[in-house]
Amino acid sequence: MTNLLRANFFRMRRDHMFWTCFGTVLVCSAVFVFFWCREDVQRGFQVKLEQHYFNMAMSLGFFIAMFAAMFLNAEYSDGTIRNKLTVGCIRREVYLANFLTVLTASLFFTAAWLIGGCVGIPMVGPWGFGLGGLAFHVLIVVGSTVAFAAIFTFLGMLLSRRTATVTVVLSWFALLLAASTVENTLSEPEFVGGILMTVDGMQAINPEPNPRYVSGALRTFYEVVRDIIPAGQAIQVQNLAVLSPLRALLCDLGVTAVFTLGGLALFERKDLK
Amino acid sequence: MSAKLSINLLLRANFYRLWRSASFWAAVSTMFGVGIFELAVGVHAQRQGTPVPLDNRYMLFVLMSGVVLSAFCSLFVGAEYSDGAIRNKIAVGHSRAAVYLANLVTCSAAGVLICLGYILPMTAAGIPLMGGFTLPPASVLWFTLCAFLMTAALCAIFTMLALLNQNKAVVAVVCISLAYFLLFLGIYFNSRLTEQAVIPAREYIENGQILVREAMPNPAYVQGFKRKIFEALYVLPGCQAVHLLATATAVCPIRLPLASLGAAAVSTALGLALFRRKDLK
Repeated sequence: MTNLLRANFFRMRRDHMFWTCFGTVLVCSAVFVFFWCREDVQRGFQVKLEQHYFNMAMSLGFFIAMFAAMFLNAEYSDGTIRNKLTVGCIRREVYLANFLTVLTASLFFTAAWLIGGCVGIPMVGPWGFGLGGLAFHVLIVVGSTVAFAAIFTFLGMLLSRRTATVTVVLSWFALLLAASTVENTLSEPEFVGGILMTVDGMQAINPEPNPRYVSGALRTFYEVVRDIIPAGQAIQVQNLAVLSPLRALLCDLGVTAVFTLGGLALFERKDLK
Repeated sequence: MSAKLSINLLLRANFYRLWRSASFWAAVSTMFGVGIFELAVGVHAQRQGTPVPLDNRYMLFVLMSGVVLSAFCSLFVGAEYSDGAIRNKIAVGHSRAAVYLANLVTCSAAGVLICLGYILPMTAAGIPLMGGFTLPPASVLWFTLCAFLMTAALCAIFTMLALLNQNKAVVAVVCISLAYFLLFLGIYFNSRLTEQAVIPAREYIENGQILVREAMPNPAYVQGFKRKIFEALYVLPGCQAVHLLATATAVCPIRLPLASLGAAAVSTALGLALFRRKDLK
């Protein structure tokens, strides 16, 4: 296991995709936060750093998917995986070593995002909710990152065909679409109306219940689904509206456990040709 | 071998492969599934009393097509290298230009068919279920033509990228990233270019009193040279998907299909020039 991890980290340090993703996350985070903060300062808005700092949270999954797709695909296309098994490594160790490598790379991307976003501090000051608030939101992002790493490792290790790269990258898009759909459903207001614009100006009217508002057990179900999808947690962090942090972290733990254990079981039986 | 015969043979072989391509049918099925889903969302909203016209749901395929096409083109063209087909074609006497153009035509045709995968359920089931288009048929057809031209332009770009790099995994990642990037860039341009120059006077309630705020210049309004740059980039294929949707309720401006044709011509010329010099090993 130690040897496998050492070999993987050696390869990761020389991997172009790793450095491309790392550099892109760092540069994008710094540039976007800089421009957003500068624009708000120029307009005279009272802005807090966290309003822009977490905007990159949603796209982190895309970089993790790209790295995992390329890194794991090379294991098959270069024949490395068979070499590892031939020299006596067991399948479980190979899978776990790859998962830990993808996870490490994901944490590096998260660190790049956190460092890059600090360029906003000289313009708008530090985070309004303090270091505690920052740590809380970062913890949720790290949790979703771990879950993303588990899902992409699962797909990357079990799909050995040429289409694996595309499938892994598109799976992020599918997860994002699913999370956005759930988020849109949950963001419907409970009441509509309240203000009516007429030729005589604005008039206050009694608000009416919104038929598209989801309530009761169905709402709880949607909230759990949003927490299960790692992209859903990233959206909550981006909106600075994490509803239930403990449930989110438990969902991350569950998703990671299910995909890793499932991946280990299926990889044991996989025909590596 | 004459150029016309060469192209015909290559096209026949490519279309033969296309009908048997799993990635092509996966892309068509994906768009078909998305079409059914969007239709269901529209019908559900209508039944709840929200006025959702069919046009609104029909036009959404331009947003999806870029990402789906990026995956398809990289896999389909990438197989030319991984299976060694490209060397075989050149070895039996086909020119590099013919190989390039045949792939471009095949991918563009596939792009249109993939979009039809969405359009088919949307029109066949959408018209009876949602009550037809609110826009005149000519406007819907013009929008569809503009969308197909944008699809062809995207295919030209993805074909160029796929034929200039032999690593299928890298091509797939680059093409999909480019599709996402162009889409998000289009969303950004749309939000910036639709800012009003002046924030109109408005009334608001404070402490139970209705107060009036005077009209004021909008600091977010993009103007001058920066606006010209944004407008020029907003017609790029991919970005144009958002532009097409934003202008669809009126009539899509003629500059959008012209920009698609221009982008396709430039990327094909560049791709042909570089592909002629490429070491195919």
